[in-house]
Amino acid sequence: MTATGQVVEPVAITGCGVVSTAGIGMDGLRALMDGTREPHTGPAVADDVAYPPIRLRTVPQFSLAERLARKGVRRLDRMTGFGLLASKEALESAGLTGSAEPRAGIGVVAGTSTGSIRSFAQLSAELQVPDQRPVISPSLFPNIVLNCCASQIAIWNNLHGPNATLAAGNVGGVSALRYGGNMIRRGHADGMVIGGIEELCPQLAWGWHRLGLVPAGGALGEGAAFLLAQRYPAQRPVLAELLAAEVGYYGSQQPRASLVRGLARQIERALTRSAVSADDVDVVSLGSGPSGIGWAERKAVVLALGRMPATFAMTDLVGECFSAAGAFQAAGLIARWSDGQHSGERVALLTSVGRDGNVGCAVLRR
Amino acid sequence: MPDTRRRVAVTGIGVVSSLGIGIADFARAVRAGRTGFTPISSFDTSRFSRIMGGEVTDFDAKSIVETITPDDWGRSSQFAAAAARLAVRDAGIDPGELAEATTSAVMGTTSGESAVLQRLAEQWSSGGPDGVEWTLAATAPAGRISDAVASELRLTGESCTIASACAASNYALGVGYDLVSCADADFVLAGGADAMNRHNHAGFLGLGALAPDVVRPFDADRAGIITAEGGVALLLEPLDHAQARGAHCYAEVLGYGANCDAAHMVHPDADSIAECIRLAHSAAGVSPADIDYICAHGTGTAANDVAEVGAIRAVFGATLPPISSIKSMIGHTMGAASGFGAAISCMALYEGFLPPTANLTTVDPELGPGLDCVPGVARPADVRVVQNHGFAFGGNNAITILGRL
Repeated sequence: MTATGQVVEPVAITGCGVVSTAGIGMDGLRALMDGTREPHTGPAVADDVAYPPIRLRTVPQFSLAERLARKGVRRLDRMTGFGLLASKEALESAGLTGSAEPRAGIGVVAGTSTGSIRSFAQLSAELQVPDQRPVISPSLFPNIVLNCCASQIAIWNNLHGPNATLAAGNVGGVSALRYGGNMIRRGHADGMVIGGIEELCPQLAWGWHRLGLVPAGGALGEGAAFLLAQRYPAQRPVLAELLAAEVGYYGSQQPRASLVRGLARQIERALTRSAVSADDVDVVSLGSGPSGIGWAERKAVVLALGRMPATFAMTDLVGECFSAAGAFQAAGLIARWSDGQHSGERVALLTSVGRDGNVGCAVLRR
Repeated sequence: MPDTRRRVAVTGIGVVSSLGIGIADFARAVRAGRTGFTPISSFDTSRFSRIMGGEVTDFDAKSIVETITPDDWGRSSQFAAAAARLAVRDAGIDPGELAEATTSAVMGTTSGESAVLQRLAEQWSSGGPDGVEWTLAATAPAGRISDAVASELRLTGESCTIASACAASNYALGVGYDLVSCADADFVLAGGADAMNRHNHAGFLGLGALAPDVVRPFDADRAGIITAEGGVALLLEPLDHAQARGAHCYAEVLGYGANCDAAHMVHPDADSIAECIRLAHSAAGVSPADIDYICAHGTGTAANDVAEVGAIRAVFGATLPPISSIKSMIGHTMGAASGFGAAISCMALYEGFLPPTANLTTVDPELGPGLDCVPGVARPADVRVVQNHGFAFGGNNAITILGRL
């Protein structure tokens, strides 16, 4: 018995939004990509603890209340704010403005890893105050539940479709692309807001630093990227098509070598299921920089395609965004294909590798 | 277009619960209406006004798992790996066949490795960055829960942890069903896991939703939930493959529905739950008259009971099928909750009984007439189709429909 390599139906990507070290919006991301904007590198929030001595790519400070132009943001945490702003841009760029009418057929899927460590640490400190009743306020409790951001995106935009939050380490963004596409293809939704979110705080940065996980020359990033994917025929101009997305786990096998073979296998499967050949791939949106695990990722691409096409790595620009990385890779492609400089590119491969053994890839077509 | 979907059977069940480890012990305890509540031992409750929990006090991962080193994983991941290993043993399938095939691990959770985060936060508070045992941080990502299943069973298919709060296991079962039925995977281990932690306990205390002694769903004297923990995994397999190898098929997954209230983070919405029931029926190709039993979300709060029963009435009209809540016995296992519901629903279909609602003295008259909550102990019954509920913070609803084979 083998799982089939059936060709998947394309779904239409009709909107895209980001919150990144280049600020809020796709324009900032484009400017970062073409070198006309510098990343924001200092701590974005006044924390009472210093960051470790590593490079940061932080989201510049912003007022959520002003950006959303609505009341009710006081209890939302910073991570949820990232998700709300990126998804708002994704929906609005697809022509879905306003939120008065329920949208029954549109769901949400967000890649995450731990939820907001900043919120968790704050509430944890409050719970440890001696002689104080250990109670978390009902309005803050949801901030430490992992599905907080995806649920708030649904609430703020009246999205009544399936609402999922996925964790698959670095590959969480690709998992979200796969989940979102499949929910549309299998009739559970007409559209899905697909993306990922990560938020930096000193505690998280110290963890990355002390575990030696920040590659030499690399930076830790944060932010959110969301796409709106819809069933054909889409009502709006199609920015790109999402074809197959495939993921696998090689954490229980011999490391490195099996990551390479594993990702190569998933790339081959994704190409087959997308009905495109290895020769058709014009550009690869890599998940990792050249150091560390990026070695395995590049080797797998060459193994599967027989060559290395043009590549770019969003992580070099926005920093290591972990479970949001895959969504940033997709947003980066959308930005790249709207800059007038890469009009010859038709098919893109997006790849992702995690030290935990998860690998994934997705195929996008212009 | 012809429906080329494969039929999907549940052929193995693994549970790690306060009522027992292994599906046989668990089902026996549920049928007897036993409860698994004890004073919480996993964190200091001296400042808490509510101290009861549904802890798995006798859990020793080393006695169950064969591949992973439990110390390398957080407690939620250990629950997941142990439950998955038990499910595979229960299925009587060669683990080598699962490892060779495209087998996925899809596990639900509410809080991920919250017990790990709790320890890290405590260490940080007392000693700053130098006071933290950082190797522990490597075990904190929520995605580790499904990775633990995949590592334990040497799987190479998709590993995905679905963190849709307390509906997460049903979301995971839904994904698993789609993967197998659409031949994206040969087999799926689907379920959920969550570990006890102080944050959830303090959060529910803040909501005024913690019961002092036991959980009494649907009872006029209900006082709230009891936080609990555990892990559960179901092996999903193509029906034809299961039949060809002579496997015991507990149930067939007929379909699922998932939606979102998009209204409030903590208050359930009856209209939206009713819509989720309709979506699930439609996907499974069943009508209300086909449903023989509803395994309720049944947390033990008035808000849940009113919304849940109201939604059921909106869809079913005057004649309701029996509805019970196993949270009356195991408490609220968060992301694992609807997985436990699925596990006992499979047993209800396979062995022919209605799981009970324990601790039920007087059904709340506010819930209306004609409500059969199967009080006390299980009842023998001819059960053909079951509806398994999972609702969550953020208004994330998911309902699975299981049928007898």
